[in-house]
Amino acid sequence: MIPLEWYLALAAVLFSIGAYGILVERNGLKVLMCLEILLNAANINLVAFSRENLMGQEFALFSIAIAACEVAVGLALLIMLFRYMDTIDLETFNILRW
Amino acid sequence: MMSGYMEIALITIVGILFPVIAFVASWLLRPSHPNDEKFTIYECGEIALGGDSRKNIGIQFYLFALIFVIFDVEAIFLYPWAVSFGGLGAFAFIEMMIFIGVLVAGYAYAWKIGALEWVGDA
Amino acid sequence: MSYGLLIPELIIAASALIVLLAVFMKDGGKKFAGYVSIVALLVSLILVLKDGLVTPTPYFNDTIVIDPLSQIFNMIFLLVSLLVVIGGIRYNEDKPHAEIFYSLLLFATLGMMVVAISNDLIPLFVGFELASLATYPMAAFERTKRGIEASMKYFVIGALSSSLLLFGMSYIYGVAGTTNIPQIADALSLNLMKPASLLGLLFIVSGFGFKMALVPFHMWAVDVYDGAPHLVTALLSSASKKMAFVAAFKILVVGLIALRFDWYIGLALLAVLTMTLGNVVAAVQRSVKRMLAYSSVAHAGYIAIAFVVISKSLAEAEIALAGGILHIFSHALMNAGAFIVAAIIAAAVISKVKPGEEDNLDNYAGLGKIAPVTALMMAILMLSLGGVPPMFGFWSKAVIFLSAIKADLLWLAIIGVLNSALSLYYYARVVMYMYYRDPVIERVNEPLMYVLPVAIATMGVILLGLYPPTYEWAFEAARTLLMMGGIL
Repeated sequence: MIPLEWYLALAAVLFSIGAYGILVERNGLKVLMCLEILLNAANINLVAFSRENLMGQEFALFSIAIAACEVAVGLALLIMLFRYMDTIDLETFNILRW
Repeated sequence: MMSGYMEIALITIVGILFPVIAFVASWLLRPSHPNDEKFTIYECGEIALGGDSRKNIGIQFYLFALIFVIFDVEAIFLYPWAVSFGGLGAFAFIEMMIFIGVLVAGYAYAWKIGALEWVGDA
Repeated sequence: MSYGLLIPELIIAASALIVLLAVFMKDGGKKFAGYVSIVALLVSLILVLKDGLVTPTPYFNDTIVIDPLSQIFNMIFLLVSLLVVIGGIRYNEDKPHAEIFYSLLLFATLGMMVVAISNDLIPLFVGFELASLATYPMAAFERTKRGIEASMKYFVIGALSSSLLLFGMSYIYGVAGTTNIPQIADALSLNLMKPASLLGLLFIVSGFGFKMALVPFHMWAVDVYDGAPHLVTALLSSASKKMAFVAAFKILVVGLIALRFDWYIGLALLAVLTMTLGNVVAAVQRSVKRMLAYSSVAHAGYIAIAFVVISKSLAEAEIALAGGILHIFSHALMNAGAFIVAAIIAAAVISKVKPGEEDNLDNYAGLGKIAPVTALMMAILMLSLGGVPPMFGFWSKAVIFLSAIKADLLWLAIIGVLNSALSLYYYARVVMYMYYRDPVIERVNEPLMYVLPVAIATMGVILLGLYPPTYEWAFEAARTLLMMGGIL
C-alpha cells in the first residue's frame, strides 16, 4: 500500500506547477493546460483521501466531467480570440484597465 | 497484495498479444496488390500534410474536437451506472435517460446551428 | 417522497432546454425563447415565494436541503434573472442567436439555485461550475474586442478560483471523511487545528474571495463588469457574485464556527480594504459602468462584515447573517436596476451624444429632461445604493452595522459609516448630473422592455425595506444556517 503522504505530495507538486504556469505563461493554450493540471491535482487528492468511503472518487468523477466542460468553453473562447485578434497571446489584453 | 498485480500483468500480456495477433493474421490472410493510392497516409479524409507537420491546421478540426470532448467525457457517468445497474431499479434508468436526453438536445442544437458542417480547408 | 419543493429547479432546467431547441422553429424562435424564459422564471419565483418559510426538507440522501436560507437566495437569483430576461427581450431584437443568451442565462440561474439548495460539497461544486461556465461565454456575447477580453479574463480567473476551491474541498474531505456539510462541521470540531483543515479553509477562502471579488482578489471583477454587455454585468454582479456569498455562508460559516478560529482580525482587514478601495476608486471614475463596478466591490466589503462578526462573537451571529442576507438582497435589486439603466442610456441616449463612449458620465447630463422616468428611477436607485433612508439599501446596511456594534466592533461600524458617506458623494454626483446639468439633446423614447425591469427593481427598493416579512425571512434563514453549523 502506497502511503497517503506520497499522493498528497504529488498533488501539491502538480498544484504548484499549475499555479506557476498560470502566473508566468502568456500563451492562452498553455494557461488552459495549467488550469487542467490544477484540477487534476485536486482529483488526485480526492481519490487518495477516498479510503474509508467512495465519496471522494464520486467527487473526482464529477470534477473530471466538469474539467472537460471547462476546457471546451476555454478552447471555444480561445478560438474566438484568435478569430478576432489573430493571436492567442494573453499579453495583448490592454483595453480594460482601472 | 501480489494477486492484484497479477491481473495487471495478465492485461498487459493480452494487450500486447492482441495487436500482434491481429497484424500477423491479416498479413497471412490478405491478398497483396499495392498501389500509390494505398500508400498515402490516412488522415481522416483530409489531404495528408506530409513532411513537416508544424503548421496551422484548419480551425474546423478544433471545433469538432470540442464537441467530441464534451460528449466523450460525459460518458464517464455511464460506467458507474452500468456497473450497478442491477441494484438501482427503474428510477436510475429514467434518470440516465434524462441525462442522455439532455446530451441529445445539445447535439441537436449543435447540428441545427451548423457546427457540424464541414466548410472545407479554412 | 414528494418532489414538490424541487419544482422551481425542474422548471428552470426544462425551460433552458426548450429555449435552446427554439432554434428549430421557422422564425428562429427569438420571441418564443424570450417569453418562455419569462414565464418559467415567473412561475418558479411564485412557487419559491409561496414556500418561503418552509421547514427544512432533505432530498436525495441529504445532499440537497430546501430551507428558508435556500429559498431566500433562490428568490434573489430568480428575481435578478427575471429582470435581466425582460431587458433581454429588447436587447436581443437585433442580435443573432438570441436563444443561446436565454438558454445560458437559465442554466446559470439553475447553477446558482443548485448552490443555494445543496447540503453537500459535490452538488455545491457542480452548481458553482454550472453557473460559472454558463456566464463565461455570456460576457463575450457581443463579440467585440472588449467583450472577448472581458470574457477571457473572467474565464482564466474563474477557472483558477474554482480550482482553488476544489483543492481546498479535497483537504476538507480528507480531514472530515465526508462531503456532507453538517457532518463536516461535526468532524472539523473534533479535528481542531489540524494543518490540513487550516490549509483547506485557506484555499476555500481564496477561491470564494475571487468569486466574491474581495480585495485583493477584485482586479478581474471590474474589468469584466466593464467589458461585458450591460445586462450580463447586471447578472454577474447581482446574481453570480451573490452565489459565491451563499456558498461561502454554507461552507465558511460552518467551518469557521466548527474550528472556533479567531480569524476576525484578518477578515476585518479584508472587509475594510474591500470597502475603502472600492469606494475611493469608484469616486474618481468617469464611466458610470466602471463606477458601478467598483461600488459593487465596495458593497461586497459591507457584506463581508457579516463574516467578521460571526468569527468574533457567536452571540451576534444571527443578526450579522441576517444583515448580510438582507444586504445581498437589497444590493442585488439596486445594482441590477442601475446596470439596466446604463443599458437604457447606451441604447436610447448615447447614439445621439457621444458614440463609442457609451458609459461616460456626460451622457447622463440633463437626463431628467431627456428621459424623465429613467432618471427618476436611477435617482432612487443611486440614493438607495448610497444608503439614504428610507430605502431598502439603508435598512439592510443598518442591520449589518448594528450587528458590528453589538459585537464590540464599534470601529468597524464607524469605518463602514464613513465609507457610506464617501460613497454618497459619487452616487449623488450622478443625480446631480441628471438634474442640474443642461440636456444636450431632445427628449428620447424610453424602451418599455428596459424600463419595466428597472421599475420593478425600484419598487422593490422603496417598498421591501418597509415590509416586515422580508426581515422575518432573512432572520429565519440565518437561524437555519446556524442550526446547520451546530449552534442554536
